[in-house]
Amino acid sequence: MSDKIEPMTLDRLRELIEAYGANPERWPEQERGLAVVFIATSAEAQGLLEEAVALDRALDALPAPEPSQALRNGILNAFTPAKPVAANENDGLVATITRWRPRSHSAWHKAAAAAVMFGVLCGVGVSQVFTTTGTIVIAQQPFPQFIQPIPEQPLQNGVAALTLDGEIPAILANTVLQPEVTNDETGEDPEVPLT
Amino acid sequence: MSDDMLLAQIGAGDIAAWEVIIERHLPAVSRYAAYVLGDNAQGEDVAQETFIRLMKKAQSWEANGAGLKSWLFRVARNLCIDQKRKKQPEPIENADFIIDPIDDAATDRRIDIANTVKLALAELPERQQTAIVLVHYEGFSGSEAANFLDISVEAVESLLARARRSLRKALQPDATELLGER
Repeated sequence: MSDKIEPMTLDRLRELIEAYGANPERWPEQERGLAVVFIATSAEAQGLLEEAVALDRALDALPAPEPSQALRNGILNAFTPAKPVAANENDGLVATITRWRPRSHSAWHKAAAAAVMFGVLCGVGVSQVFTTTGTIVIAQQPFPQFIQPIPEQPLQNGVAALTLDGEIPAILANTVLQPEVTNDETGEDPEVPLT
Repeated sequence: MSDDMLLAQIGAGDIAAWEVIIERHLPAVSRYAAYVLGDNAQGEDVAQETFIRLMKKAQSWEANGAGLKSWLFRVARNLCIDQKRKKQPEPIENADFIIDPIDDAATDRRIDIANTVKLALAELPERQQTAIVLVHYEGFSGSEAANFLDISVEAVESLLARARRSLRKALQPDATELLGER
């Protein structure tokens, strides 16, 4: 078949009927009118049509199933609303952690979540104790009453070098041996040496 | 409202648009899968999976020439091909839609005819089967089917003609009943 409209012939009509069946509505639109006229004038064409009608009728005996209500409901329930984009989507680890909530309501999940939060917060606190200058800084401790102030110590060629002889590095020894000093009397936070 | 506009609304979270799409396309997709698989339940499984995939696709949907209808049938066709590898169709035993409440013999006869046609359809090669279901049952034009199958209109007509010849041959033993022949 081509887009060019050609006169209808018995051969072309046979092709149409063999492919699309007897219902002219299924035939290509641009050939339909000529084909119908041709059938009206040809006994042979009418014979072809009758054979096709019988097969169409047999095919139509197959019932057209309708989708069940359960299927409709299942698909309707599959609808998931679009996820809104968070305004503070990239505001860092801490915000992510504080926003996070356990999906399960079981007790052990909550306990595990609490333990993770505690560990992360302690980790953040410890990471701020040692600075690159070798100075020990105690800042933003979550539990200040358990932490003693440590006097400033000069850097002694790096911690790694000091540990080669098996001795406790002074920077650490001082930390261990330093007598406990608290500000329990004042109830104030301990002083924080920053340099 | 066009399918593309509805999909944009679905992507934005509009459930009403989702309902419209379901009403508009679910019956045809479900029917297509049931015809091809020869089993209503399996057809519904395929239809459900097809629409779940559409749900996931909605947010990234881009309008193109083929359109949603073609996309849905393409997904359903692939799912049917997978499904057919797993299981053969089962005969119609409890088909409410062809039961004659007055004449039991007529009901039995209709069920027999439907089963014969269904099995004959199921025996066709996949492309012939898809062509005949799309054109005869789903009202696709020759050129729509050609686009869908990515072949020429002439090739679609050839597929359809071979399919109808095979069906006629398969139904010949019951020709008097099915084809009205003596």
